[in-house]
Amino acid sequence: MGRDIHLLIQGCKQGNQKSQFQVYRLYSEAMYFIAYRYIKNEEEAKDIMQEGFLKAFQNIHKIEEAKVFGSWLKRIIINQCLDMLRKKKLDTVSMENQLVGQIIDDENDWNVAGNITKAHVEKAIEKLPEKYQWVIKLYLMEGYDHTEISEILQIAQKTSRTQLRRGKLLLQEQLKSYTNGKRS
Amino acid sequence: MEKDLRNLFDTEEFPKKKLPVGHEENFMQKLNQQQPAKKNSRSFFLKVAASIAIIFTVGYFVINSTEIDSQTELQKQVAQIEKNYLKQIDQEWKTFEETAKDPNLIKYYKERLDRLKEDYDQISKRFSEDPNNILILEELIKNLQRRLELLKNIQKQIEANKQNKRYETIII
Repeated sequence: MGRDIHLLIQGCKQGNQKSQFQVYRLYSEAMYFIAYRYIKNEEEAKDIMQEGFLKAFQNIHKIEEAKVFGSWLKRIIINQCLDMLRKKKLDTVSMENQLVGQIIDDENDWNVAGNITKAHVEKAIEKLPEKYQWVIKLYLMEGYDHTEISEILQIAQKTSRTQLRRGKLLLQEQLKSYTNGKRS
Repeated sequence: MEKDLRNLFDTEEFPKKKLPVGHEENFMQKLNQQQPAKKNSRSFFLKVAASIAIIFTVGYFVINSTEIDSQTELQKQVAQIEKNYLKQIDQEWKTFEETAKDPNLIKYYKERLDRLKEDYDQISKRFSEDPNNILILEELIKNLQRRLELLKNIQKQIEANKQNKRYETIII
């Protein structure tokens, strides 16, 4: 596998279409899954994902080692998704005000009730204002740290921390409704 | 019992979501459209065709005139064509070096051009051994064309990337 991908990436660097297509086959499913986290429309998510691949192939000379290709591609696709969302500018009315005065919080307290499932969390995240959604997804789902998040979103690390903290509080708030038996 | 949200996504069981039907064909199409070499090379092909045509005519007349003189005549012509190309390639390389600020990119293209240059030297050697072989001559010209094309394409890409500059700074 390691050797294979190395050869495929070599092929891509030379502009070989067969290699490019094979790389697409190898990664498209996982990348689509990621794109769909941000773009909640199947066709759009697919298009964005495919554009991400094309962009990656155009810039493939920038990676030196084949083994970093996957994470590099993921980063490109996430960027494409966020850019698309920025263009749409559908940010709804901020929920921020609800939280004023509530900021005393432990950054490491991510606890929720035991009966909360992944599906609950995904649904609750979708209800958050966009900017919180992004930091939370990048942090929880993609596993990026604040350095990476601040680069991707082009915000200061401090902002990234604040947004994550607020987002987390909102999320925990949302999730409480599931523990109370009120399925919203 | 409480649980930590951060562990919830640690074990990612994908693929969960099926891609839309026909996505592979769709991508193949996009890949085809995007290939800059194919898309933008129409005028280029004309140039290739034109230069080959010139060589054929020159070759034809030269070979048909005097047998002994023909080699030197044809070779003179080839040398002239080669000179023109190399001059152009050199110019393109200089502009490329100025516009591309990425040392990796420059290194990468330098290597590719060097490889083509090595090929060229070999073909050149074969040509001097068999100077009336039009096929070898064609290979020679194609090699020069490819080098020039490579440089022109990358510059087009750099231009395109400039418009997406914000992106490039994020994607390291």
